[in-house]
Amino acid sequence: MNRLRLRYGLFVMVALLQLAAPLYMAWHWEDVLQSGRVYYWQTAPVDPFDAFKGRYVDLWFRDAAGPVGGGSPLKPGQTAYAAIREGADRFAYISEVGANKPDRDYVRVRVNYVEGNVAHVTLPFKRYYLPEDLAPAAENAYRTSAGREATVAVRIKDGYGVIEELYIGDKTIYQLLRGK
Amino acid sequence: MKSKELEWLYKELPELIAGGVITPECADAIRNYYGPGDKPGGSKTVLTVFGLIGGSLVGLGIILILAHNWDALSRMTRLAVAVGMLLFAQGLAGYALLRRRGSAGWTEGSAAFLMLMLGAAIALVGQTYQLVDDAGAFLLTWMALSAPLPYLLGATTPAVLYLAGITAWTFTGYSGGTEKLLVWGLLAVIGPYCWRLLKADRYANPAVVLAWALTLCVYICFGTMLGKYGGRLATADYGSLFAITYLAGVRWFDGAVRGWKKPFKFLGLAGGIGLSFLLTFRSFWQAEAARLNAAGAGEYVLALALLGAVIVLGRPFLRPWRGRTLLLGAAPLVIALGFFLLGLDPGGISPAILLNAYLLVLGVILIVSGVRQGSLGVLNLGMLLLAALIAARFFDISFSFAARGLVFVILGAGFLIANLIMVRRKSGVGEE
Repeated sequence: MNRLRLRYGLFVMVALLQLAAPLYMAWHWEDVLQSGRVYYWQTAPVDPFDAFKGRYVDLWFRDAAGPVGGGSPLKPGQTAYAAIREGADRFAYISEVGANKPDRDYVRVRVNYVEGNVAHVTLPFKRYYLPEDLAPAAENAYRTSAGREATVAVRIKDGYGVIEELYIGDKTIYQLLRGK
Repeated sequence: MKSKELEWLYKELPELIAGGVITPECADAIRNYYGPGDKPGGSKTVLTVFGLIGGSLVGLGIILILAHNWDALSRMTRLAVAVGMLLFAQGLAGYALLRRRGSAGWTEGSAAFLMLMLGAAIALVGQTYQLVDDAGAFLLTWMALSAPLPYLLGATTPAVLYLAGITAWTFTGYSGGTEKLLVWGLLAVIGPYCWRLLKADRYANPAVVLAWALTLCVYICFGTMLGKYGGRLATADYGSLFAITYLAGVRWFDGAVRGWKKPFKFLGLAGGIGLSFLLTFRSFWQAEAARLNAAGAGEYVLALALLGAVIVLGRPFLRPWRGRTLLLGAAPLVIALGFFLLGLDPGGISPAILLNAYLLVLGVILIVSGVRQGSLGVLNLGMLLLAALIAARFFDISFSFAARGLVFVILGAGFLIANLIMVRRKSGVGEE
């Protein structure tokens, strides 16, 4: 009986750890959403047929590259820090990519390749999930929307970024769909 | 003995071993004497399978429903759903642990459900916050939090899912870096559970299923590791790995049970023969020659260490002499000799001839011993091997269609006649 009690006690501990995982994740990302600084990113005008993959929009960023900063050289595949700045057009861009954390706002990125002094990176926010019944309508709206320019609002804090909203033209994707 | 009595006896064996009344060897001897039982624990197995399938289906269904991405639900509601489902699954597993300990159906079903709900909860949070598709981190978190479940709940399904999960994890993410070597540590975590299960009764269904999963997981992880961290001698390494599995299977897991219940022997044999067969083609050796030149010291050390393990495992079969087992287990030594010849002859003709000769001898010996023992399975394996070898050489070297056709007819007729003779001989023995 004692052994069973021990096993049960350990099971309860493991169960608490299991519960802590989604709760911690939610708390962490909710914190970034609530208190992170908002940046607007222009997504590159990708082929609309490839933009929607079933239930999410695959986001490609026009400015997912920046000059390599000081410190150790960057290798493809490694994690690096991209310093974020706001341009005159209000859109965010990467001012520097380096192996060390910068003083200003930054996100953790993965280095894809380095060309000359420019590091091309993958930003940590790449997908925008949609309800499965809305995805085809959203794809259609995106394809027919003027300019086909899309913008995402991203909250950034302590190196983490969370997408807050996806805009097509000046409307959010949900406003656009409701308008239809 | 009647099948019901045999069923009872076989069900008792694990408890007798656990209680120290008999040794595992003694249990094997009893099984060898009575042969395979008809359907040990038939109805119980069905109940377990139903419990397991039920738990898994409900779990997978909930994952699909959540994947719909309900936009009407706020972030907090989604979190409440994820945590609520996880709590419910934990409650079920806890109930099974406390109140339904004897029921394998409850144990396996609730454990599978809990593991799926844990994955669903983590994935739902990822979906809510539009997190990047980091499948590697997701799988690692999920598996790490699931690893204690087999031990605590005494269920094999989470162990099998865990093995599948860590195998999938080795394929995720960017290649490079040494973090994927962690998979051996993750494997070691589940090691004691596998050991305990195999020790209690190596031919019971859970142990057999786990052994299949474990062997396949090791084979696949070994391959991805070689691919990532220098696998220029992968062919030799795999040859040794198959032989190690086969010899271990013959030494410790070769009771009188059906073939599928001996995964180590089965997979090791299939892998070894398959690999040897591929190496009868000269083009494979030509590809090997290019890699062989680039191989580093570490790769040679690994290949030699694995070969050493094969020799150590094969030694007991020298005395008393077991020629067939030794010949089947000797594939990596032949492949190693092939690599040596390849060093002298980069064109690959001599190693290809060596492997052809090896499989030819193996085929003939299998046929002879099959006939001697009156074993249709061994005979057909030998014939199949010879037929495959001849057919492959036939497409390698150009012959006229008429000649090819004739040889195939002769091969087919040989198969039919040999089987007919064996069946007649067997039925003759039965009548006597």
